[in-house]
Amino acid sequence: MTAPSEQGRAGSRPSSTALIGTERVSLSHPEWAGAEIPPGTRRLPLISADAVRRPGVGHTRERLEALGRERASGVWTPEAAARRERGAEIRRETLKDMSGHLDRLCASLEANGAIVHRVSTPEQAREAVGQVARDHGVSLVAKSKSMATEEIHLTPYLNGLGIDVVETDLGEYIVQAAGQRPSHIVGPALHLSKDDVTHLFADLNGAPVSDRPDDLAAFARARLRADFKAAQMGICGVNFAAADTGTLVVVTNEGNADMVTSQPDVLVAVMPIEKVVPRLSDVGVLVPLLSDTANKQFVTTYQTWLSGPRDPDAGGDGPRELHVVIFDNGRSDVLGTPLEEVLCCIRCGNCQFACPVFRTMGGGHGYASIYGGPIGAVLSPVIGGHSADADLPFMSSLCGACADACPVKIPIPDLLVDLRNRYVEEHPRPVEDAGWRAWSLAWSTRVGYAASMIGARAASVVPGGILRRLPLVSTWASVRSLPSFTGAGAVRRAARKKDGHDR
Amino acid sequence: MTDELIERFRREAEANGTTVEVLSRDDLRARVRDLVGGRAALVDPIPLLQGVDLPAPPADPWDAEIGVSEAFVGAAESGTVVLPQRPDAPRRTSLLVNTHVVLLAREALLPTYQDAVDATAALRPRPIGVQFVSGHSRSGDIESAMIHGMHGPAELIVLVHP
Repeated sequence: MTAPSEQGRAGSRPSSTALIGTERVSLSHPEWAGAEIPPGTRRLPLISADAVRRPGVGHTRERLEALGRERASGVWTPEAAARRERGAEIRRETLKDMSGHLDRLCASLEANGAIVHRVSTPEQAREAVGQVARDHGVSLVAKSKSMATEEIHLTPYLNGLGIDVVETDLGEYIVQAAGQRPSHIVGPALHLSKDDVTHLFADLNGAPVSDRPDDLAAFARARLRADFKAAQMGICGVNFAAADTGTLVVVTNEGNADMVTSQPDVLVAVMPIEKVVPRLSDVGVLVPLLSDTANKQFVTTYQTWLSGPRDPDAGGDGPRELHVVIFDNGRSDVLGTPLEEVLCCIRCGNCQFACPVFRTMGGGHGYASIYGGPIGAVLSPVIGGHSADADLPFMSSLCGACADACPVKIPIPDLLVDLRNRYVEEHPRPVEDAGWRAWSLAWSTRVGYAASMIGARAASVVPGGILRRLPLVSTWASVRSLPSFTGAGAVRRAARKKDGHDR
Repeated sequence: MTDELIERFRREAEANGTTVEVLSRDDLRARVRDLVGGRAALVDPIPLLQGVDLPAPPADPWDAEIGVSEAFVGAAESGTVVLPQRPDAPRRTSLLVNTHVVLLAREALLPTYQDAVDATAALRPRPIGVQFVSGHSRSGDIESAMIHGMHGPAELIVLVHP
């Protein structure tokens, strides 16, 4: 391994220390869990079935279920409930005048000396970041966690320009080294076990490493420290952007955003439009709300406020140049429609922890999109050019746990149903529709209902292996478990008996 | 009244793993000198520490082991200290070190996190950056096990003085 001290020497073009050894990584993953999902390979029913059957998923599921019980998402103390009301109000106030708040934000940022790039598409956002990097001859970027940069596929683009980009959040670093994408908004590596991380770091190291979490973290810390020191540019996401003062607020527990936003000479903050909040004082409500729902803390260990570049003559630290890339990617199109509610999201990941579908699949990879889980099933089909994700709203049982868990009261199940309706309108399925209509007609008559019960009882004595091979059934059951027909009609019979009229 | 506030701050900060000590000004100067000892230190210019014999900063700040800062305000409700970033109070003092020591004046201790946000938002001239710190650096990214000192300090000590 190259000694960190050799990195970043004057006159050399530093490359990443933390990514040394990635070519040795043997931890495998299915294609759909990769950093980029190859176009044309995405078939949601197959992927979700694969995710449920994936080796090791049981371990992750148990951990997620334990976390879910511990967190009791959806249970609000009176104090938290009051904060939730206030947070929900602030987010609706933001929606009401999104473009006005954005105009004020841009003006405040520019008054503070930041350079604003307000763009619409992911391509334009990537190019804006790439141009800043090229202008400064950057070869190494230290990046703190940002789902927005995942959405615009920023890292592969910068890699294509010959620039190393290192994820510095521990979980993000783990998934980056593993060649995967984050499986949860705030816990990117929660699908991986300690053993997985130990094997991964041993591969990076080219020699065994201790499996104690503190030692694993120390291994990552030492490598990432070399990169913090050598990086010429930082890239960060934004949790909240205050329109009145032009202040960007980033929260972490690790302190990596503090490093990224204060040590390199150039900083690019990347945010989608909905990160704007009307006033800086609003973070007094929103930061505790986010910290509680994301991580069950009153506040995270660090909140970093950024208000502008430093005066290069004055000394100290902080970026000499602060760029802010604000992108839309189709979001403005839903303003004024019921779907605009999705733009209230503060990316806490609480709906993901609360979701039984998410837990059963052992994390968000099974959604085959950048944003997984309940909020992802709404957001992904809404943001621009993601028509491939139009069927994601079906990845839900509509149990409503996500709505109960949401800190800003987004009616996620309602939005899922709206998007399902939209999908069905855009993708007519005449055969299936005819089937539902036939069923409805049959059960509207006593004779039809009785006949279906005879059919179900007959099916209950046919072995599953034969049933699965019947035409239509075989297609349906290729990625699903067949329901049991044993006891068909029993509930109804019991209910009738209880009411006193047997048969 | 103020002491209740200090007690609340202490309770919340200790719950976050922070060490809190309440000291007179003289004791505080001696305590800082002891804490720094012979270690490589980054110490911001703090009037209260004038005349205290402290080692010169290391040639490379990344070699520093301990940093000493002064808080602008604190929030009792969350055990938070607020550190505006200035040319003579750079972020590295609170970030590159293993042990971070923060001086917090009693009169700068506010009841709630919202109070600290509002006081900091009103600060003029507006600092280019501000760090709100509520404990030592940590991560839960490996099976939710608590990791101390991920990127920033593994230890936070707040010295409250009258």
